[in-house]
Amino acid sequence: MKNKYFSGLSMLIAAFVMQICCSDAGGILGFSHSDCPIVTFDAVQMGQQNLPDFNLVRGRAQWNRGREFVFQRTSDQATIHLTIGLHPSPTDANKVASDYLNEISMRMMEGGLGNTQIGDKFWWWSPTSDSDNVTNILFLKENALFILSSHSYKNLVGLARKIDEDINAKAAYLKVAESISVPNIVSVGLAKSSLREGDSTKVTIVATDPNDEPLEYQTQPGLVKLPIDPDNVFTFVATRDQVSEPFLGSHQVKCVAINKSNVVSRLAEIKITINP
Amino acid sequence: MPFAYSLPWPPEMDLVYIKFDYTSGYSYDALNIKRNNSTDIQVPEWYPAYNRNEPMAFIKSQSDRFIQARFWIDRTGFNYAGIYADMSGSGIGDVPEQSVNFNDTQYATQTLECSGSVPNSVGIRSFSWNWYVTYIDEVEFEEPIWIAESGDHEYYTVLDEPQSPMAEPWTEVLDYACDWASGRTYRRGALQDLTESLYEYGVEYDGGTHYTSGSYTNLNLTSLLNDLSNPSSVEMDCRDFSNFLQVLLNALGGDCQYNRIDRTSYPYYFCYNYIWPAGWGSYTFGGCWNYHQVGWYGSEVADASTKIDNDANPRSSPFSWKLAVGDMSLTSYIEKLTSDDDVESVATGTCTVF
Repeated sequence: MKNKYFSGLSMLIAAFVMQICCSDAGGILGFSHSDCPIVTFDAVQMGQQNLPDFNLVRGRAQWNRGREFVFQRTSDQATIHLTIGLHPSPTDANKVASDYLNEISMRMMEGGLGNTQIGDKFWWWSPTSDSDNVTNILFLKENALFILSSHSYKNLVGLARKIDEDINAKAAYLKVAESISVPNIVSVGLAKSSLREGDSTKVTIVATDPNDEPLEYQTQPGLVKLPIDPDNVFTFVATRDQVSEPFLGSHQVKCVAINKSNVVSRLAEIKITINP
Repeated sequence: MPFAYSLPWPPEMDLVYIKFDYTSGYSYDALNIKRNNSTDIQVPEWYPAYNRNEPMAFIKSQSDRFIQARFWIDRTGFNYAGIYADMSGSGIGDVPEQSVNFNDTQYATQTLECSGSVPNSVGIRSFSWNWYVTYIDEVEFEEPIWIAESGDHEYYTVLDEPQSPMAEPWTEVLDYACDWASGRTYRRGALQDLTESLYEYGVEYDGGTHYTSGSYTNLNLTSLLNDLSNPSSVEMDCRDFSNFLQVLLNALGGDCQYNRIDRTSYPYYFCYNYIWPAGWGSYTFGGCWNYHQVGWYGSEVADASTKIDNDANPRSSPFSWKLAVGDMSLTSYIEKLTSDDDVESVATGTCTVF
């Protein structure tokens, strides 16, 4: 009982402190908004503010990393790719970043860009391994993951730092709050879990978003998206063009949902078996 | 008083549709293809009543292809008619006169054999047919009577049976593959053209993750094809380049794979010599990779992601820029790419697409 009481009291205090930290009043009391999650990030507005001579070409979910936005300048076709993902916690964001760094071909270096600090933690890559020509940056800020790349825009470090400063300054295009509510995958339904070569089955992701924002769904491996299917329904087709080796046996399909504010759900998994 | 009435002669006839891919295989007819991952090519491919004119694909040099055509005649009472078609353009041949069986109905669906060969090189071509009737039952006409024109029938010519991951090729892929390798009669030549065209297309090499994700082999081909309409907005990593090259060649009947190379000793990454990546305005030197992935065809490297300095000293100028287009052994390629030790092949295989 005592522990429970203590735990409840601690939580109350923590919530109070966090509220002070995360609110505008926090600044008056001299707190930074450290430990407060970023709960929305409007990349379009960010682009209008920080990249006024660029147009947004497209935005698309990029697995559980978040959503990739591509900005392009008309005058010289300079292009910037920015992926932003708001994750349930800094630990989640760190795990996604770690998976990304382990998957990619370039060997990104952690920190060490002179006196430059970007976010809580950052990595960079340059085609010449020196810090003068950085073309790729990954940084973590609280629960947020940012991945930037460009081989034609010369001030990528500056852009990353500006975003970091904007977060500290609570720019209008983002929101920091006491806690984050993330999309939740309630279930992943399968019409059939056991298939033979050539068969197909529908995969239905049921997810909710606490903010009632529209959700974009992704699966890994990628599945067929038929035009007639709702956004949350995919088709697993058991052909060798689409299913990796070993073809026969059990295949894991992971699913993720991301809302309009670039908040990413945790993964859900199902198994589909292909029999001889 | 009885009224004497006779129907006009000759009866009116028309061509209703043509099926080019009417069997599951390709021994007699066109290949099975689809538009993309989610959209099939509709059969009958040519069906004017539905305003439909879909493309098809054939393997080069195949001769005497069969089609299925449906005809209409304005009344019952006839059993057969002699029909042929003359071809215009570059196509699969004329349709010699063959008997079409109406069997006292107004419709006849007939398998017809063409006389001619598919061109012997990769390409996107089109042709049309003018259809004539020469007799109905026992009545032979003095001159053939024109009944319809069909076409333009657009078709892709590939080199051989398409291979995974394009065992059922997408026309959105064939549009690139048949254009870039146009005129090629063999796979190695096609691979050379595909590699060079992809390198020059205007997309940018980047070592992040863009279209291949989760594993080294699962390519988001649907998104890539969508984005290629604005190539300068596209970044592709080495996996994307090698997997897309595989897709392009295998749609044409090649058997390209990927080959992933890695450093197998400490520090488990390697740094490159002088390279000139795709879409970059200049060459570079000294960056480091955890691995690199290339196209792999007949034990040789094809790499559309970057040129290498192919002279005796790839670590200094002058440069002799070389794009490996399926004409370099892995050992020779790695020798130029990096001077680090123990960089070697760690995996080969076929990608999957969605």
